[in-house]
Amino acid sequence: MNTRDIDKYGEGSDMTSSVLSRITKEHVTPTPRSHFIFKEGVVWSVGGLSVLLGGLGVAAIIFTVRYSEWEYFDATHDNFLNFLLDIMPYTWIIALILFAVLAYESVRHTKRGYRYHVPVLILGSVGASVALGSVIYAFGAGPFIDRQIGSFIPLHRNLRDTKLAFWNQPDRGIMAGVITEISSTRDEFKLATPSHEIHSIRMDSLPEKVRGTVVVGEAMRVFAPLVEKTVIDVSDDDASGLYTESMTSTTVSVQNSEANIDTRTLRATAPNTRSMMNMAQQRTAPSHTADTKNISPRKEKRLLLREACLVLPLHIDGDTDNENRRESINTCLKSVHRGERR
Amino acid sequence: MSPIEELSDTDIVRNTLVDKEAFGLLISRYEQKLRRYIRRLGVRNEEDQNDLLQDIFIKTYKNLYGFDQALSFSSWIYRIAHNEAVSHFRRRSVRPEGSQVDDGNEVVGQIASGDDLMNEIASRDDGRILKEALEKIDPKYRDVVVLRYFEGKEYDEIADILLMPVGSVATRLHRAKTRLRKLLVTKLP
Repeated sequence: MNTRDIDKYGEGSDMTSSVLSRITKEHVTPTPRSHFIFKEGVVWSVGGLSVLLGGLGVAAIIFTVRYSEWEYFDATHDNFLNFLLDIMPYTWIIALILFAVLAYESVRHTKRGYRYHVPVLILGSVGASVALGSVIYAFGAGPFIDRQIGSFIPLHRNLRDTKLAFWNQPDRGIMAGVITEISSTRDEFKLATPSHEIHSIRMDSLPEKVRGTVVVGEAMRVFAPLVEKTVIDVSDDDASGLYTESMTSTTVSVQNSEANIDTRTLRATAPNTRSMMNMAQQRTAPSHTADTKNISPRKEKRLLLREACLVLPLHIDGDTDNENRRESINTCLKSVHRGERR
Repeated sequence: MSPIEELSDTDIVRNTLVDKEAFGLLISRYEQKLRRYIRRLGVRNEEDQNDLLQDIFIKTYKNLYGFDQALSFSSWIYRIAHNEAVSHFRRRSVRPEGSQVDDGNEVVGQIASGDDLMNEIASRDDGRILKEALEKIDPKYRDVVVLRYFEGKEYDEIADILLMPVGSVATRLHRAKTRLRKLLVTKLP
């Protein structure tokens, strides 16, 4: 302190002198205000972003839970617990928890975040994510998040694939997949399932109106008990190629599901697919068919023929069955199960 | 009282941002308080105290723009002092050298507040017993006891200094007293 300062601020202690001289000597200056504003901004932004990402997770959770087709759980699962474990949107629940923790950490590191208790901050961030997620869901973003954003997350199984798995249980007489061809007489069609099987299904007992809905490339649910087993020759060459080609005429949504299929599984199961295609070509003269050239049959395989009880579109996004459809499905499921038991 | 003494800490902070010499006033106001505080936290060596105090004031000066004027300046500078003391112990890989509790009897009287055991300790006029007990409890409990009963801070100030919710301060203080009581029972002949 110089004389003028002593007059102004009084005489300081040794500590005052040493601190002030060190400030001068080491050219210490206060860190600019912008630094603190930026730091606070970053922390709040991370918190806000976490709440937003948690909100996306919530929107996907609402979508998944709402459209998991609870009404058919007894047809697709042995018990309700198995059904719950199957439809649980694990990815989105984990994402919500992670982002809630991140939001909590961010807010805690704001200027006054330490004043709030941990449960308050955690519940607050989850609550904000739920509120935001509900709004995002209301705008119809659930399917997009579950499928498109979910495709970047390893091990994520979206609702469409979950539902395909539900409905793809040939042992129970229920299948889901894509129609790959229809016979010229329109009394039989082939259904390629995500488990790389192609089922030949007779539909001559179905009303004409229902038969009209069977279109190549459409994703359908088929309720059809087994009626015949036939031994045929099959090849396992170029099997994955066939399956891919057979799917090229399907809708975009179903093609996307192929991207998720493990090629090892595909190779292991594709011979069955090939056998179905070979046999089907021998039995019928299809008007719409997948490319099956260069097939060289090598071994025996059984072809399972089924008779359709009901064919309905597969809801892969936000649609649900109406009351009439639900009744038809339940009626059909009863007869299918009776048929399977026979 | 001179006009300078009437200035609030916040006013001095504002002045310091224009004229660094004004910072000397804050140093004068807090030097003794902070010296006592870091000594109670366990920095016993006078040279260490001086070095640490310099670091505390330099850090305070550097971060003046980060001072949230919604808080009291006192809480803010105590927070810096607390963090610097913790860093000091960590840097030197040493434990606090025991709390300096010369005013132990008075403090025991405050802690006692109707507790027969504590009242008895206070009446014995022996601060050594409390000092030994304080040395043995977990630093997180010692911190709140020192701030509440030695520095005379309110709960909300302690919350601002130790960066925790006010409710947690109360809980921690209650636990600290319970632990102290247990330790003091064993100390009594």
